[in-house]
Amino acid sequence: MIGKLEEIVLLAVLRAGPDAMPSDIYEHICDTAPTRPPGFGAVYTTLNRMAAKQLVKLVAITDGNGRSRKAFSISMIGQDALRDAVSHAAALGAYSLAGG
Amino acid sequence: MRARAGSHVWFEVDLSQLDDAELRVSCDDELPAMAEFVSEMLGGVRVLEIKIVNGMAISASCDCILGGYPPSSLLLDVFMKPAEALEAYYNLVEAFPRWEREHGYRSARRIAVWQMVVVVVGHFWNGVLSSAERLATIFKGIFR
Repeated sequence: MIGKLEEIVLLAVLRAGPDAMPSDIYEHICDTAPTRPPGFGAVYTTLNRMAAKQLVKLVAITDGNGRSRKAFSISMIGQDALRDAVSHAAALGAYSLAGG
Repeated sequence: MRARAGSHVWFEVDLSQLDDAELRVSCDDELPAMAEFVSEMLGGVRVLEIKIVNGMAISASCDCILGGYPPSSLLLDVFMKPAEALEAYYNLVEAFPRWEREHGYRSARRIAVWQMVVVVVGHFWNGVLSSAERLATIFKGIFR
């Protein structure tokens, strides 16, 4: 079972597409947050933590400025964990409570 | 605005802003005359190059016009491995314009420093959690 922040970060990774950099993922979270978004440090730490737990895949890429960067994509384990978390929330009626 | 002595800073400036005494004092002495000349010749918004002669030029009005630099990566460099520190810093630099847009330059710097602290603490906390999980797995295997 994953935590709420992990769920949000995984959804943002999914939305940001393959090989997304942490700053892109953070942008997606901030753009879609209905209230105050989580801090950048929390998102960055969570991403690294999830990479250690193999919920996301970590690849080294070169960005537009020629710098070596870390990029993240969701893994199969991450997709399963996210599906579990979302379906559990749906089964408990979370989306109807939120008006969805 | 902050720059090293001898460095060149490019920025777009509204010439009407040069009436601001603080900006005039913090920039080169020749700037008002030059600006007047440019204003006469061209008028409106133009790009000027200013050489910082001595240390830092600091001005609230400069901050408004220019935007600013994120804080240095010293905190990350001290506590993290160079590659990890650099990686975290690049991401903070990319997030900085959003904070600057939403909260202003000074608050954005404060947020960036605080987020560096969170990244450093999270970095160590991740290490502690990984060790704890490894130990838990070993003990689970032993006492099963």
